[in-house]
Amino acid sequence: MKRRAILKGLLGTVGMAATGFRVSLAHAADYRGKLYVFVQAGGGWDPTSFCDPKNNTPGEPVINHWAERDEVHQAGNIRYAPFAQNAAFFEKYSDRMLVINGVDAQTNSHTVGIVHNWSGRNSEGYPALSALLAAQYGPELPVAYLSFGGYSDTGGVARYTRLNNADLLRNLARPAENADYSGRRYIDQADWLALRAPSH
Amino acid sequence: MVAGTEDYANMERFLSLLGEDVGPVAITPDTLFDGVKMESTRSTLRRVAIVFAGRIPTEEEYQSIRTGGLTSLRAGIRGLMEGPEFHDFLIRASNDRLFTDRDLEEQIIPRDGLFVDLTNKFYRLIEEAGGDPMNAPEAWEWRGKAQYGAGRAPLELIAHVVENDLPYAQILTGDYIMANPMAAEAYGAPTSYEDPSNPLEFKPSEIVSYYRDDDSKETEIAYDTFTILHVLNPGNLLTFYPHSGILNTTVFLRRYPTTATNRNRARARWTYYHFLGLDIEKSASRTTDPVALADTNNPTMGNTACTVCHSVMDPVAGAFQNYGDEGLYRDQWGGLDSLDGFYKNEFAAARQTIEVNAPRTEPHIISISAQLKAGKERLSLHPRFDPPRAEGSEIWWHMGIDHVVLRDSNGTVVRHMELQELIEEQELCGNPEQSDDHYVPWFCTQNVILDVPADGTYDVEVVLWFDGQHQGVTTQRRFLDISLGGYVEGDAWYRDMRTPGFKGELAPSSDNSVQWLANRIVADERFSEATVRFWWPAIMGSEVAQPPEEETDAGFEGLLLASNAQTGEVNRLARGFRRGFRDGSAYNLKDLLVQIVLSRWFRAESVTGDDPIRSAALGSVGAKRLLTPEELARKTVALTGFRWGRDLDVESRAIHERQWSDLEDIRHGYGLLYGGIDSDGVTERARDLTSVMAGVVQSHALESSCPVVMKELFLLPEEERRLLGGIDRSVTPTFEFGDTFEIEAQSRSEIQTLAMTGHLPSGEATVALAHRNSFFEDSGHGHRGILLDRLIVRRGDTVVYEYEMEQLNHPVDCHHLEQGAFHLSTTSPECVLRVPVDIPLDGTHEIEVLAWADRAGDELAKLEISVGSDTDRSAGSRAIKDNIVDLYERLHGLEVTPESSEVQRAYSLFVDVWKRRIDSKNGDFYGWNEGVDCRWTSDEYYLEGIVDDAFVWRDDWDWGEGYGWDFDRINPHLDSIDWSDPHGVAETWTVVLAYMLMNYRYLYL
Repeated sequence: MKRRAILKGLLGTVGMAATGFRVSLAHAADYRGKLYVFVQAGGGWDPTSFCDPKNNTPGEPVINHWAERDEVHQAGNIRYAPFAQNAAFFEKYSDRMLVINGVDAQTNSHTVGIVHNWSGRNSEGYPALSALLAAQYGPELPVAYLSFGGYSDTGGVARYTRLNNADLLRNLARPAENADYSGRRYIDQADWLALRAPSH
Repeated sequence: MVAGTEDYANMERFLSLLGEDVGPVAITPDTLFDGVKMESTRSTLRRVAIVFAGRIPTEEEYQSIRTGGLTSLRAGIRGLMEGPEFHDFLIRASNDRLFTDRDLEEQIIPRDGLFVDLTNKFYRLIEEAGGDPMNAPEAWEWRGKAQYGAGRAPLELIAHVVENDLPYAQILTGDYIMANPMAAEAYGAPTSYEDPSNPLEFKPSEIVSYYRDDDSKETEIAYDTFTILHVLNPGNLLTFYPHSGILNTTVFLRRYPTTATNRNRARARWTYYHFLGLDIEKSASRTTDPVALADTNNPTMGNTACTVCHSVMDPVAGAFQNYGDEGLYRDQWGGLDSLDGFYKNEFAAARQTIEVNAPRTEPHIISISAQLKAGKERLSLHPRFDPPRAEGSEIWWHMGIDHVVLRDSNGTVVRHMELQELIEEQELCGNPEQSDDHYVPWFCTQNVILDVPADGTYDVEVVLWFDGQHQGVTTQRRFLDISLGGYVEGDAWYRDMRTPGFKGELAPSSDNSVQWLANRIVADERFSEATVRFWWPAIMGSEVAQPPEEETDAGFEGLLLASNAQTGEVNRLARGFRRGFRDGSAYNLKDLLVQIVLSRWFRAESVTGDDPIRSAALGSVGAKRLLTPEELARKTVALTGFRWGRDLDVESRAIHERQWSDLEDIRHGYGLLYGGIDSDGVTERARDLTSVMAGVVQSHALESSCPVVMKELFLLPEEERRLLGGIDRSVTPTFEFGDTFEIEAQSRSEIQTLAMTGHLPSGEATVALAHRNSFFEDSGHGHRGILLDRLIVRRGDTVVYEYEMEQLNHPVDCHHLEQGAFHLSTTSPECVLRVPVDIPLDGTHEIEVLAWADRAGDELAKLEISVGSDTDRSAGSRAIKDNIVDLYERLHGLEVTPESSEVQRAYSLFVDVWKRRIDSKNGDFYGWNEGVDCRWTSDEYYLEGIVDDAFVWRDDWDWGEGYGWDFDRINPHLDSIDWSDPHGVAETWTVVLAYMLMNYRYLYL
């Protein structure tokens, strides 16, 4: 009887899963190139209290309360509002930063604006800039474009992957192997090769 | 004849030869499906069953649609719309639109005293637990279940309406709220339940004990930890909660929260979108001209660049007037409204500031103009110094306000108020008694309520003067801030927005304007169209096609055609939904769902011809779409009984018994990665299979196939198997016939003839002899060996072959010669004896083996005799192919024959995998030393029906309490199982099953 041996292995697997270790995405692949990160801060945040500071104009409605007490600050070439933790942020990163305040989105519709901001077009179906970069710089990479929601159309030039747990990639990179228990597999290697053979 | 086909081209050429002018014929929505092949009714039933019932149809269900065409198919589909899986479909599909599950584990209804029974029950449970909130698990568990009940209210309402064939309008107009027993208790509702302890049982209920806040409510903070509140006296503001279906469930309102500036516009936008099919964002072209948008005078009311949308949206936003940012009814202090404090204190339709320095003899006459509404309006007067007067300063001044005049746009005086007389009825910030002919304001805001006769533009004149320093001397300048038109106590909505209403009609009462709105919405024809659009994606996998934006876009004509055609289909379905389909009742959603799956957009199978416009238009046709992770998980468990990584979710088990699996879990599993949504940032399902998603497919197949085969071939009786019924572990690709014999003979003198009969084709055959239950006594003295004397093969009376077994020269050390016989010692596969036999003619043959055996242990020795021929013609090959045919039908819905190329490929894989096992197999199914994990433990229901209480709550583990496998119960059962797989057949099926689970036909609807 080998049944106990089977169970022993399985219990080992469960135990390892419970105390599994984490692998950060950065170490999941030995990637040395640039990473492009795009964030759409939807919902009506206020750039005039951040990187597009506006002073109040006498005789006109008050735009910013901070401007009643203070002036616009500047770090390097970046102007910012003296508000919240902005000073710490801009003083630290301004020399690595380019701020573009305002891009003509060709619309004042929130949803169409999102499409335009990501793809440069008001039509649906065009690739997000992320997809274009993935297609240009990582066409051979299996996970060249990670999307965490929002506009992620690719126009067919790349595929995006939604990833909430980088550890899962470890399993998926070698689906035939039990990642939690070194040396164990879910299928014999020869069987795995046969399964993937084009003739089948 | 269809454009794009060869026939069409021939006809075109023929007519041209006749001299006819043959121009291209445009495809229209009416002709779009010409030449498009529709799938069979059987295929439709199967696909619909996967969507609605999470399974494939039973044979009886298939039989029921064999005749009767669409009528019987319609009935068959209707029959699938029941049970927990259909309920799950309704919940899932609804959430795919409303996304209310985002907050499912949040605190949706607060325990801050508004819901008095919730607050006090929670407090009581903590008291009963000893007064320590940190150690009151029952209190938190109850609260969690109550929150779950509140969180699922809108989705459960939809399910309730649909499952009970109620008019679909009730999803908006229902004057009740769905609640589980705990939520009902939190609401103070006397709703009765079949199982009051079941958090998954939802019934129509109501919010009874909602008390708004004012001075009459008395509460205490009973525990500082977590700020546990206790309501001592709920006060006077008991609320008759105006239920209005989904629209004013707390979780729906919370999912689309409002702010001081958004003012329910998001709620209006999504109400239009979900229930009227109007995407306001895309409803009108709007300028981006900065000059046109440079408007600071409430542009949503007056600037045409803005009113194009806001005139539609804002009245509906107003209808949600009673619900604050977290969806709570009139949540502001006093319980009169949900308006934000900044508006209430600061907003004015017009403002003016005057430096006050005129003497009484020549008073200021200040005029301020504003658009006012009929009824009460507010005039605010606020005197101040600049720089401001210091707190506690003794410096006063004497300002006199003589009177206030209200003039209409014609200059006619409609009100004249002597302030010292009128002000007494109002909250004072001044001294009306200081003088009998004027009013002296203090340094605070004095509100004066004006009675406005009708909507219009009015001027207000204020006559005032400065009468010198009242006390002390100051150089500060003196001002009076005057504002007109702002919040008046009793207002429920913003005065600078459009009046609550819908389509030009005003809501009659602010108390229940959402109820009023709901009734207006469901009376609008657009409600039925929106309903079609609401449910379309859950079936088709994509939204109803929108018209393309720009003519220069690739495929513009096809996309436009698709949009027009689908819009036409939506309108057709909506008309039927309003009237009732066939003899059905109006607004019956099940009937609508039936019609959607019967639509050509769902049933189209293949396109004839290569017309690019038609191809583009039908690119999104619903016939083949990727299954969602939830659908794939359900399909696999329905077909195989195994749910990959099924986790009873120990943490939330007490709350709602969710059964997560690796495919569905969006937090720890592959749910998001495989295209699922989290109802928050990710709200659109991914419909294209990526390389990483393909990895999920492989993991799912590889980790599922072994447990499935293990259960089928080792743990379940034949009649309970789902996929491999009729398959025996001895059935190899060469297998012809065989049997297993118990040997009673103990010596040559008792020698026993083991005989069996079967058909053999001509050519080389192999007789395989295997010891099935070798046994050694621990003492080393007892050994259950089998002694083989002779093998005889007969065809009728003719001996075809006769062989003395002691002549067999077997290379492996698992036997010896004894008493002139071949002594077979062990069950190892390398010790299986294979004797080649030349069969001259096809026909029935008898196999005889003469043998006896040693006795040891408590069983008789068992000898398995099997006869094999070749992998192409054997009975085994036919049985295996037949089973592969069955698997294709069950798993892929594909009707194939043993000769089909698909079956040949799968069988070829079977043979490849099996051949490697002929000599290398070690005997048991995936024995430990093979290095392969058959991870059946990933499904915590795996042993259900096999071992009672296999996965249970335990508190005897070294590391504490928890759910786990009870191996004291499991091991005795597993020890009794015969795990032998001498020919590697079970393992081979594991590989073939994985192959089929990875096939795209399995993954697509």
